[in-house]
Parts: sequence; structure tokens; C-alpha cells
Amino acid sequence: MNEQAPAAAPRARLVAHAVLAGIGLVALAISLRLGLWRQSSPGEGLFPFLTALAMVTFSVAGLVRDWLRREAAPARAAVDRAGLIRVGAYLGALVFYAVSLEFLGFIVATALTITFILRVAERYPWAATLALTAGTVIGCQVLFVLWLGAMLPTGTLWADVFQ
Amino acid sequence: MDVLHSIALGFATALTWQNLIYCFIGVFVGTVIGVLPGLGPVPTISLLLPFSFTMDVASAVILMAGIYYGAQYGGSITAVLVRIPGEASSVVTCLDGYAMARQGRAGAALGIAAFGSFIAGVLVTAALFVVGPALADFALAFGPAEYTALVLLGLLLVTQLSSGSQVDALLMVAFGLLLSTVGKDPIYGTERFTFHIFSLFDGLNIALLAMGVFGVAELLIMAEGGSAAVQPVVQPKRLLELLPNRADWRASALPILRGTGLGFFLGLLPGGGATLSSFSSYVLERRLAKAPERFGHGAIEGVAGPESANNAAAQSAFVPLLSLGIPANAVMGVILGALLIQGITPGPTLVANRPDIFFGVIASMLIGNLMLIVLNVPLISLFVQILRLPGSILAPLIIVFCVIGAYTLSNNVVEVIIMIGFGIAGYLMRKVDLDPAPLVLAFVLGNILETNFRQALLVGKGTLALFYTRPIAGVLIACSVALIALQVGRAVMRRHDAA
Repeated sequence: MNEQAPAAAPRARLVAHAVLAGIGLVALAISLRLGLWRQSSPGEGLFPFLTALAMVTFSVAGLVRDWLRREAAPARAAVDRAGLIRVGAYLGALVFYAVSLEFLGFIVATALTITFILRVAERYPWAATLALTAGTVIGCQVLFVLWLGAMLPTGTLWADVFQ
Repeated sequence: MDVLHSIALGFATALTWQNLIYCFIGVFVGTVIGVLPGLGPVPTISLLLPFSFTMDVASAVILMAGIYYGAQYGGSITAVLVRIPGEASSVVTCLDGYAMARQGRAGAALGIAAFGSFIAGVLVTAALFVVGPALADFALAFGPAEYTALVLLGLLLVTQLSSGSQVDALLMVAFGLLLSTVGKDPIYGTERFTFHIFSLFDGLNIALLAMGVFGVAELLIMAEGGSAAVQPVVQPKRLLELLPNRADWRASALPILRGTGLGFFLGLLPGGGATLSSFSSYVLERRLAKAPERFGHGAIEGVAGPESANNAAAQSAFVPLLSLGIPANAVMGVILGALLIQGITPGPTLVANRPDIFFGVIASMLIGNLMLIVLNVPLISLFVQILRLPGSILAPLIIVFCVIGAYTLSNNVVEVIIMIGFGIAGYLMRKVDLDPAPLVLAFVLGNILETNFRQALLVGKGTLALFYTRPIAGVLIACSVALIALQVGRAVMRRHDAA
């Protein structure tokens, strides 16, 4: 445990601490509105108030520390643009999967998501992509639906189409 | 009833063919659901409640107990292999277990987790036969003030295990505690921080938080680095090479014993449980280690102690349930429901009136732990194969795993979105060197802390009197103050030396 200057970019850490301090301040305000005390007993807002106060205190302490040590922080490597694009691709796939899961159903949503990741983000050839996608979908269907009895969506789109 | 007679009766109950089969089913199902995040022992055991009505009482409890402690081991498998804790009690195993896997030592991590859990199970079973009923009385001495003080001390110790700075760790603890207040107030039922989002009315789910900040965040880190960044680590092929070696055993022996003792004690306390035990053990091992800087980078003690502790706690949690009728956690609460359905009221008279249930369940735990070893150790080489997969194939599997795990919590897409949100937050935290582990651990303990703190204030008529008039609470508070003073003193000394 130490208080040495961490390795992340100083500006990024300042922003992070400022955001967390902001969250703490909003929580403080909401806690006060909830009420710290009710007649003769602690109110709903007391515990959130105390934790939010701690959060603001430590965020500000971190902000001040990182501001004072910003000159001493080591230089960070240049931003990896290709890496960020891959992160964006994965995030997009995740969000698509979540949003389309009930509409397209588990099988179609999973197949499209994995195909996108393997083919577009990871540049696998089509044959390997389709084989891995099929294997994953079938494996998950067996594990989650047949064996564990999980209720996964079949897709409202198909229910409407085949009505 | 003397001890030998109790043991004989216990094994006579546990060793019937029927109960052996139920025990096996329990540990097998428990291991599987422990592996899968989102599916925990509570919903699984709840699903079994209607079926338990048709079963013999002892058989029903043996089955459910097997699921519970089987899940503790199952949760550690994914924690080691892909840094996704299957159970809340496996969060600390992510720290060193995963690091060991990246160093080609996944087998040793899984092996020591299995053997440590087994040894803890054997020792706790023996202890329960001898002192089980008497120990439950001690648990009654813990009231709201004691729990508040214990959790506060635990949270201060949690900051010790963070890989970053103390201030940042405290910040993450505070954030985790704040997140635990989302949802309905535990006493008045008022909505807090829900922003009229229906899915938040019951609070945030630990599975979403853990899968997000560990699983999804790790996935995004892998994606950023690309396939080249996460090459499959070469793992030994033969089972004997995979298992812990002599040096591993020498390093793990005392942590296993200490973890067992700690887990046994904390499991007796209502609200204590496997999670508190596992991270308390981790913190203890780190404090006692000659080279604490190894922790977080593949220290086997960081797996051996916590895994032993969580299994010990899972088993000793049955003592307050069976001998006092007090469920120590949600799983025990469901099992209590199963007993009540059968017309059995756990309590001080259970040992005298139905010794077959009390001692039969304890004996079955020994058998169940043996089954866990026999089931899982040969499978270690199979589990380790997962690490041979390139990151580009592992990543889509993790995505499916996490999304389905989140969705099946309550068949709600909003929960998947919440998990993704935590994933983004976890990724950003890693980029700015904020360790998410203290946040997750504080979140788990937040509800216990708040409920007990408010109860202590209520009993103390709005004052903190209970914290300094009750001896156990007073001692725990004094330990917290001493710890803070020690940290401040060390920081001042370091600054003085640097100047």
C-alpha cells in the first residue's frame, strides 16, 4: 500500500476523481432530501449521506494529490487507435446483443454477435467463423436451455412473423 | 449424547444409498451453478423447495447443503481461469488465482482451491461434531453494534488488499457502499437512487456488478490489446504437473489452516458468511506474508486461504440454522423454509429430538467434500484447456456467458445493459489505475453495515453508546482506530524518510 504517483495519465486521473466527486455531491444532495433523521430514528438518507461524504472527501484528496504530483507522473504511451477501435467494436457487439436478444431471440442474436466479432473485429476466415459460431450457439443451447432449463427468449420478431 | 455416538449416527444417516446419491447430485449441481455467474445457490435451492416436500428431511437438507458448498468451489473455477467470479465469495480468488493462471499455474491454483476446500471441510466437520451446538450460543453475543464494528474493520482491511493507493482504495470502498444503497431502504422501504427505473427498485445485483467490472472490463482490456496481447499461456499437460507441487503445499499449509479457523468462526455469525470469510482470510494472509507485494501477482497463499475460508464458512453456517433456527444468510433462509415445510422447527431441541438430521447433515458434508475432490481434481486438466483458447475465441464466449448470466437473473434486458454499464466503468477504472476489487467487496458488505448501524443507533436511542458500552464492539472499534493510526503513522514516516 503506498501513495506513490500511479502510472495512468495525470489528466485522465484528474477527470476520474472529478467525476467521482460529482457523483458524491449529487448523492449528498439526494440523501439530504431523503432525510437524515426521522422522528427518533435514523432516516433513509443517513447512510447514503455518510458514504457520499466519504466519497467526496476521498475524491478531493485524490484530486489534490494528483494535481500536486502531475509534473512527476511518467509519460504515458501514445493512444493505440486500433485498440480503441476494437474496444468500440466489442462494445457495439455487446450492446447489439443486449438490445436484440428479446427481439431476435437467443439463437439469432448470439449467432449474429459472434459472427460480427470473429469476422469483423478479429478477422477470422468465413469457414472458421461459421464453424465457431455454430458450435457456440449449439453448445449454449444445450447447456443453458436443455440442461439448466433457463428460459431464454425465442424472439418476438419470429412470433409476429409466424403468427 | 456423546461424540462417538453422534458420529456413528451421523454416518449411519449419511451413508445410505439414497443420501449418497443426493449428496453427489448436490455437489455436482452446486459446482456447475457456481461456475455460471448469475445462477447462484439461492435460486437453485429455491427451485428445489417444492420437490423437497416429497423427500426425506435429512435427504433434502443434504442435497441443498451439497449445492451450497459445491457452488463455493465452482465459483473459484471461473475466477481462476477467466477472472469472472462465479460467486461473491470468489471475488478475491480473481486477484491471485487469475494471475497464477496467466503464469501457467492455473492447475496449481485450482488444485490448491480444491484441496484447501477439502481440508477445511474435513476439519470443520470434525469440529462441528464436537462443539457445534455449544458454539451457536457464542453467535448470540453478536448484536448490531458488533456487526457494524466488524464490518467497518473488515472494510478498512479491504483497502489493504488494493493494488493502488490507500486514498483511492478508500474512495472505491465509499463508492461501493453508496452503490449498495440503490433500491429500497431496508427499514422504511423508500426508494433510493432508483431514478424511476423499475429494474433498480430491488437494488443492484452483485452478479451484475461483478460480471461487469471483472468479466466485461477484462474483455474490453483484452480487445484493446488485440489477439497479440492475450496469447494462450502455456500450461503443463500432465495432471501431476498441473497440481500443486511441494513448494506450493509448504506455502499453503498455514494459510489453509488459518482460513479454516477464520471461516469457521465467521460462518457461525449470522451475516458473516463465505464472502466475509474469504476476503478476511485474504487480508490476513497478506498482512502475515513476508513479501506482501507478491499478492495480486500470483501468490498461492491468496488462493489457499480464501478458498479454505469460504468452504469452512459455508459449512459452519449450518450450526446457527440447525441449533438455533437462525439462518446465517439467504441460502440458510431457504433451507430453513425447506425444514419448516416438512414440519421440522430447527432450534435447541433439534439435536435432542432429531439427531439424525443434525449429525447426518454434518457427516454428509465430509462425504460431499470428498466427492468434490474426486469430481473436480481429475477435471482440472480439462478446465485448464480453456486457457489454451486464443483470446479472440475466448472473448465471444465470455460475452455470451456474461449476457446470458445477466439476462437469466430476472429475464430482463435492462439488467444486461446495467452489467455493460458496469463493464465500461470497470474498464475506465482500470485505465486510470482505480482498483475495482474494494468497490465490489464494499458493495457486498454495504447492506449488512447499514442495517446493523441503523439498528445500533435505534437501540442506542440515537447515540453511538452501544459502540463503546458493549465490550466486543468496543474492542473491534479500537482495532479499527489502531489500524488507521498505524497507516497514518507509516505514511508520515515514509514522507519523513523521503524528505
